[in-house]
Amino acid sequence: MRKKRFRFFIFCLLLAFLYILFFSFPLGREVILKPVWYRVFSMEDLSSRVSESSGGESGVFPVKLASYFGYIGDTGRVLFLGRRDFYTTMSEKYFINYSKVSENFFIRRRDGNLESGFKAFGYPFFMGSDDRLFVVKTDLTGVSEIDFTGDVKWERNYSSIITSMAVKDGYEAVGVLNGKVQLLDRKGRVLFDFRDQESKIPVVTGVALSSDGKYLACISGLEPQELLIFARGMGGEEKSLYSLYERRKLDSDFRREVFIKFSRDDRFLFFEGKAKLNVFDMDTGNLAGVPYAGEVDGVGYSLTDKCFVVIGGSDGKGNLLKLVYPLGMVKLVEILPEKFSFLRVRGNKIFIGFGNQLLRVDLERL
Amino acid sequence: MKRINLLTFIIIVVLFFHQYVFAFEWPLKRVVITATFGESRGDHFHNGIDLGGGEQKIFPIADGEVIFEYSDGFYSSLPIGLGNFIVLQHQGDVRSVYCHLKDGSINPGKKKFSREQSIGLVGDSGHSWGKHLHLSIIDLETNAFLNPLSLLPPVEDRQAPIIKNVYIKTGDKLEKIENRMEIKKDTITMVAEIYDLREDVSFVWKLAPYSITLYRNGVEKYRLVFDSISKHKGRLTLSNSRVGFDSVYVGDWKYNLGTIKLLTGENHFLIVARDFKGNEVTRDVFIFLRK
Repeated sequence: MRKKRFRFFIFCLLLAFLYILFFSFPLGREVILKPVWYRVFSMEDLSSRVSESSGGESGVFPVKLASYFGYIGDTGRVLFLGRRDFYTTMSEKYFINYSKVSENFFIRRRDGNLESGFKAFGYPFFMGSDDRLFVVKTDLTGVSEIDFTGDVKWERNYSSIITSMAVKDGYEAVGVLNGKVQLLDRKGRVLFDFRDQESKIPVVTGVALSSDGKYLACISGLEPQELLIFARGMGGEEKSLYSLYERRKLDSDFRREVFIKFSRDDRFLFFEGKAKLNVFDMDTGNLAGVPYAGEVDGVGYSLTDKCFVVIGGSDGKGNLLKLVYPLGMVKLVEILPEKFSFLRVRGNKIFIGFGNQLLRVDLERL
Repeated sequence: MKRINLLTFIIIVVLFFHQYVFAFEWPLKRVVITATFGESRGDHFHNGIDLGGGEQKIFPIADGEVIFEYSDGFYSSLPIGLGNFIVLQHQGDVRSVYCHLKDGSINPGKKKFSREQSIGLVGDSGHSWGKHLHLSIIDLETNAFLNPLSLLPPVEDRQAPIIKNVYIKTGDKLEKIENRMEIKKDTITMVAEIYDLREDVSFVWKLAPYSITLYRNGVEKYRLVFDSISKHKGRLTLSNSRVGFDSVYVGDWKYNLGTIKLLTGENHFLIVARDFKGNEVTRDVFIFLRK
């Protein structure tokens, strides 16, 4: 009896040893968000204006908070701060702040000085890189690209309503209420045109472009709602350079514009799902979901740390910030005290805006 | 007694067939048309109608399913001039769009609306000067914006449009034509200043007419009908005549009636303008081409 018990003990010990030998993995260093600086913007800051040449500020980026907008440096130094009107559109260097019934618009440099003015029957907006300026008709039936004097470079009209748009590296993607998604080149010429026939109700609720324009993704249709990804150079036909690369039926049923965008390295496609943020790995084709109780407001991707930051949620507990590694592994969850309004991730630096406050935290490993 | 029974029968029949005659109902209880279909909006046609009458409940023009909506605070990649808006899909591939709704009045997440259920309240969100409802109707079959006044039950309108002035256009210059005129050049571009008026206000509030036709010596030369807007060769055009905004509007309420080669001697032009109710106004213009 005693011998039997001893054998059993030895067997358990061996089993434990084998488990440790084959199935153990080193625990990664703990990730923390280290607060670097915190600013509360108020009326007094509105006069803030710092000369770039004298300041030598590095890493200046545009910020939109609840009632303010401006250009802030990595160190938290304010280059310019203004009060938001009906709509404020910002590029890295310029901004236009306008009222809801404007016809005359003024482009200002990021130090607040006037660059130029123009007249337009629509709403101007910066999108993509190179300070490209577009005007969308107020009834959402057309979009044009203009120069800084208001001259139209190209224009495209739709006998329906534009629901979403994305611009990357000389390519523009437009999603339309009638279920059509169009890819345009830098001159507004149609490169690819697709209208889904699979869904019972055709409608495009979100579009995204990879940084080189190779991939075009959209959320299309109702009953069912689908993720469609088109890739350049997949089709054999000369006329259609883009062809279907991926089609996934989704469990979502969004009847509004959906957040969808590629990570900066184009490795991942982030898009809103039903109570989750979907992450589609372009390399492996895996689709993972990060649970969210409410809406996803923003996603930032850290190339240095190979992780992404998701922010949003409206489950009554405040707004959530989640630090997620590919394959949906949630490393860190923080609850923000106020409604999220801004997120920017650059390297290990994370800038988070809520209310009229801006916070910089750095990703660090203990 | 027999007469009452007959009357009741007629009322029942009318009520029953009403839904087939007019598939759609007005979205507001108090209907005040403040802008019509096809009006100039600076660089494009107005693709629906505007309804004033202050803050009131908006009802769908028919039972429908929500297919897209935007409400203040929603994610959007674009600046939204339509303000808070909602798009419903109805039977027969027809979609209706309700714009500039009051902030917070849309019930997000509600997917189906019956005719009796309110969508939201009239507001002035987005590109709007005051509280009004912009209503557009889209036919998915033909991919066109339809004039809602052609589809909704008729409303009272007793006044015909006004033809204020007629011009000859040379370059950017407009020269007013009196009823009789002698000219030497044989090709002219004719422009007419035409508008309809709101009847419920004492001041001048202009609306676009429904159609404008130009006849020369009894033969139709040009016709503009504001019944639908669709895409043709990359531009949004009036479906009937395939003319785009720049070809229709010369200025506010000034319509291009085309370029016409004159006949030697008398050219009798007749301009006919109608509103959506069929009220009509005409203007005769005589131009003599002297060789």
